[in-house]
Amino acid sequence: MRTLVMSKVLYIWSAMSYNEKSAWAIAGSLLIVSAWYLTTLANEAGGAAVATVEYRGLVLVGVVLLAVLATVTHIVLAVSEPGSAGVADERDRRYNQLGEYVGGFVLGSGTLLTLGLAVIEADHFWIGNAILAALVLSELTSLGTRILLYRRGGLV
Amino acid sequence: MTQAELAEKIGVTRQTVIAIEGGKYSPSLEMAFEIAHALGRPLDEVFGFRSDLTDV
Repeated sequence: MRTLVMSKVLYIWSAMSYNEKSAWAIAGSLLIVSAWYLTTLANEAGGAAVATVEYRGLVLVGVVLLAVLATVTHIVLAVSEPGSAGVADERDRRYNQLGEYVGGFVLGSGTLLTLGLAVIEADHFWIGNAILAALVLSELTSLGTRILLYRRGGLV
Repeated sequence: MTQAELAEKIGVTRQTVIAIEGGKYSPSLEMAFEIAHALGRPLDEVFGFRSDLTDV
């Protein structure tokens, strides 16, 4: 059963275009780094108020970690599909545009939320993390939209 | 003509040709003309309107 599922996953993966694989790779990297960031934040707080944690260093490490993960996965993708790396056709561009459009709503909402936090003079921990959350969630929404369009099709 | 050959001729990925064939993606008018031209067939012979997708 497990072998059957694995072979099906591998079959689906091999049938994907480079740009769909790229969307999966970035989404996966973002989820891994986000999970690491939240876990580390919770561990460092250790029961105390989370806003007391020095988060700025963690954000920097997270950004570097994300860049490394995204670069490594794209090098592997480019090596396995040398002809199609970095090439986008009409469908890729339209799905990308739609993904950015949907993600833009999340980014806009996050910006308003952050503005609200600044207006009430919230701690910079919450403002910084609200910006971070808006960026990550908008990117995940954008990538999720693209993946959904690639998987289910989109008559756009 | 294979899907890969058609894809190369019109400058898209094979997956895009598969998506168009499977009705999962509607190409732009320009690409539709390119496909018809590559297949040597009139546009209305290659593409047809599916009313079941637009009926609400």
